[in-house]
Amino acid sequence: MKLLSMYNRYNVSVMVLVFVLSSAVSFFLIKQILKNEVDGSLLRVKAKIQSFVDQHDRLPEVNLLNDEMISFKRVAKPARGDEFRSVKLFIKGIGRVHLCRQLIYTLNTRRALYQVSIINPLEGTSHLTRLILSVTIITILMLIIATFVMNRLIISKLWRPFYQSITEVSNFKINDAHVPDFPVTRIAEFNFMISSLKTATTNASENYRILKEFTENAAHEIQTPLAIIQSKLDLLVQQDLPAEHIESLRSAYGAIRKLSRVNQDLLLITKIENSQFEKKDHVRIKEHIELKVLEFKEIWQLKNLDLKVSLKEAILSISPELLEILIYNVLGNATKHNYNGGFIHIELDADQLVVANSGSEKALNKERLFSRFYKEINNSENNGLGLSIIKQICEVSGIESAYRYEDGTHRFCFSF
Amino acid sequence: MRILVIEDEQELLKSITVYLESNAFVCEQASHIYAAREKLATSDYDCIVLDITLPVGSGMDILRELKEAHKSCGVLIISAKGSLDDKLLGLELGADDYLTKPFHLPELAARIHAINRRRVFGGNDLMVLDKLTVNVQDKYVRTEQGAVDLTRKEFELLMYFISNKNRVVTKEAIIDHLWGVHSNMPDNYDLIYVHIRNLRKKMTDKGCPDYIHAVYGIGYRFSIADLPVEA
Repeated sequence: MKLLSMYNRYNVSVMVLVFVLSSAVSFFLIKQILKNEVDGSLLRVKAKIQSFVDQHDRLPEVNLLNDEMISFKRVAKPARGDEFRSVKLFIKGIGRVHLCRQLIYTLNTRRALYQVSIINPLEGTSHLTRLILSVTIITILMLIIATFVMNRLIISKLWRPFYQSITEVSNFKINDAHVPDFPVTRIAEFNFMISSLKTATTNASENYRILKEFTENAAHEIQTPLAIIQSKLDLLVQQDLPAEHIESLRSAYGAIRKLSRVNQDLLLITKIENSQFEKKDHVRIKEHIELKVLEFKEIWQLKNLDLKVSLKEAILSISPELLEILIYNVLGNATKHNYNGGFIHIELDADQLVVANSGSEKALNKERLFSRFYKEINNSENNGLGLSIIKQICEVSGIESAYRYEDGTHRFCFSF
Repeated sequence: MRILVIEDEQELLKSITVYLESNAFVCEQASHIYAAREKLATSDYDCIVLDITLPVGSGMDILRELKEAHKSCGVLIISAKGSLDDKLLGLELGADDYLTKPFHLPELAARIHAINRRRVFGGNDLMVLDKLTVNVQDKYVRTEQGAVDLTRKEFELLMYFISNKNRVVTKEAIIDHLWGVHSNMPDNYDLIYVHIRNLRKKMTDKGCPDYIHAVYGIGYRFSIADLPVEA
């Protein structure tokens, strides 16, 4: 539910409640005022009767032309004083039962005691009720309509910067050079939010850039010492060395090779992240795969891998260099993590590439699979960057990668 | 063959020079751009090994100056950067090849030889080594007893050995040469073994002595014993 509708729900229900209450209160107040008015007129009639009795020393005649209905009744003992009541009586003039006010008191003439009852119809109350009810209903309706119109016209406009900012943030990618373009607004809360978002995104981008630059610089700085070590080893190996020295030299070669690979891969990842590879349209994947398959054939034959290749034409917009690296890595992995006499199946359709291979009897960890330096076993030949590179390439090329394990078959699927 | 090595890293400069000199090249060194300019102004070189990132100026400046001076020496760029743009710019400015640091010294020698063959002989030369006659252009090898039928990889391997004759080349260097440093192919020493065994057998079958010797399981050495070092 939108904040707006939530807010409206509360707002309108409270308003309706307030209106109903205030209508009820005003209804009773007005009714009370009317009652008081009528009671006042009853007292005026009483005063008139009293002055008539005082002057003429007899009861006045009841005038039927007046609204009041007056009746006298002889009583033995006087009542306590004025008694007002509301009664319902049939009024001939109106032709129906009507709410009336009645004043009962004891009139003391010289001859006798009379109980006097003066009744005056409480006119207009039902009109009043109807009026107040309809005013209330109309006001509530108008209120609801006004609220909705307001929301449509004004509030959604007021909220626009909020939604724009949210869209910008959700489109924000840390490795993207694109800076989020936040809207300009006069609303303090939004400005506060926007400035916080700006700071957060700028900081994130900046930190990411620094980290990336660091990786890049570190990798570059490592290149030269690596080159020196490599060259010294290449010179050393030319010497006539005793066997144990050669053994040390071999270990050194192995280690420097590993280090070079890690460095190379890290540089490659930063290059991909920096989008230093240009996309080309209409890259024919089939040709690229065919070439790589040719290169791998020797190794596969040597490892006695059963090869099944079924390639259909597929055209993709991708950087050819990256495609090459991707295929190398995927086929390389399928080869490295295979056993002698296993199999590799490569299947290319118009919209996906599936590489399935035999391998360890255990599924790889799906969550960590594509993260950097992930290794299932501490395989010395592997630095755990291959899949990370695959993932990076897929990300920048709009390819979806998936991994599945089934009965000893590891299956990597790439959908374009 | 006269080579000028322009590299600001002293230790690397030394290694390159030592290796190339032991490989029958005549080397001169320049560790900064001024020394390089001076040497280029006074002497002629067959090939220049050029580092792109120098403390002052850039290897690219040297390339531009060479182009303007219409010097016809080969240029091999060695760079730590390895970015495609750098490579393209270098090649555009007249460099013949590009090698990313770190590299194997035998690879460097092989590249220089290749550049030299292309420039001096237009790739159309016949190399005679002991009993072998190699046509680099047509990738063709024969002995007195006839053609040695080599696969593309075996031929590349032979050329690599010839470029580094009497030197030990490691298996890793061979893998990187045959499959490329960036191939990310799994290292497969068995595969190297198979290729080398085939190459040896094909040459000995045609009456060559066994030129290729295994060195302690670390690599191989191609040597023609009774041949002078300069081919």
